[in-house]
Amino acid sequence: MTCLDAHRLFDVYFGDGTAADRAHAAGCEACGAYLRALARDLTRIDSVVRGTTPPRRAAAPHPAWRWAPVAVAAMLALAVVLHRTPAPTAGDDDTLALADEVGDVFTYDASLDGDATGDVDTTERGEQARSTCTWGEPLLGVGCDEPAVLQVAWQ
Amino acid sequence: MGTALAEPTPYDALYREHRERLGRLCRLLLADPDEASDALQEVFATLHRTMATGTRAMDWRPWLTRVTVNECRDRRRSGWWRWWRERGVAIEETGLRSALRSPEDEVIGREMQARVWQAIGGLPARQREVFALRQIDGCSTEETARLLGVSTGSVKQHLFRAVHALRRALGDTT
Repeated sequence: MTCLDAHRLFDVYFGDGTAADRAHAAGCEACGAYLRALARDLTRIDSVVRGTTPPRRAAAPHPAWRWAPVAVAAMLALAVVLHRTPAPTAGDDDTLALADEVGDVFTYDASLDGDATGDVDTTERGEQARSTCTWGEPLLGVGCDEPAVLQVAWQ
Repeated sequence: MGTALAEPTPYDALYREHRERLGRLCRLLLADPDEASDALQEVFATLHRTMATGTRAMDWRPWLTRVTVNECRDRRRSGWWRWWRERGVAIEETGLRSALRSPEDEVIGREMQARVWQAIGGLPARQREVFALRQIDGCSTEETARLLGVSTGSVKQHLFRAVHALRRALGDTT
């Protein structure tokens, strides 16, 4: 008869084996040696578990290092956010010039919206708007309080 | 005239009878002496509250075992934050104190003791529970299965794996 595998030998050791397996283990040299080694190891493990307490844990010498992964993750997240919203640089003249042109287009359209009825000379009003406010001037002066003019002034 | 000693209550009797066994179970299931001590106190507090409600007499041994296993299981589940704080800490040598001083215990080195406890701490929860109940607490396969709510085949499988891992931890000393 071939030797029992480890699972059946475990069953024999822990009292769950069949009568045939127990009989085989009792008469087989190899299976008997396995069971003796198992019994010896379990006795040693029992001695540790019953006779000692689990090791108490001491504080880590450098507890700050525990937070290193969190700090790295936060820095990466910050870098990603900053990378996605770049501030316009002063040296990007082409971009600023394009923004000025686009702003001009929309400003003139807005000033002309209220003159669709033709009551006022739109060209004259537009020139007035340009002439009463200068770039950077405070908007409290006369002629700078109309909505269309305000837009020109802030342009 | 001597002072009359108070009659031990059923609670006292149960405490004396099961304290050692349940303490060992807690240490094995939690692999942490301080946590095990807290868990044991909670188990007996539960026993006290239960007996105070006038619960009829019963076989307290399996009841206490079940309460202990559940208490340790709850503590392990709620211990993720503690794990995060304490992970990487060094094992304190002074925690390995032996209560027995037999010649066999002297043979077992402190290093091997540390390896065994480390292996116990590294066992999956179910394997640790099965090993504790079956090998250390002396429950039968059927009792263990009933206590843990699993099949007997599952108990055998978990026990096999747990013992295999612990024997590996013994290393060259075998």
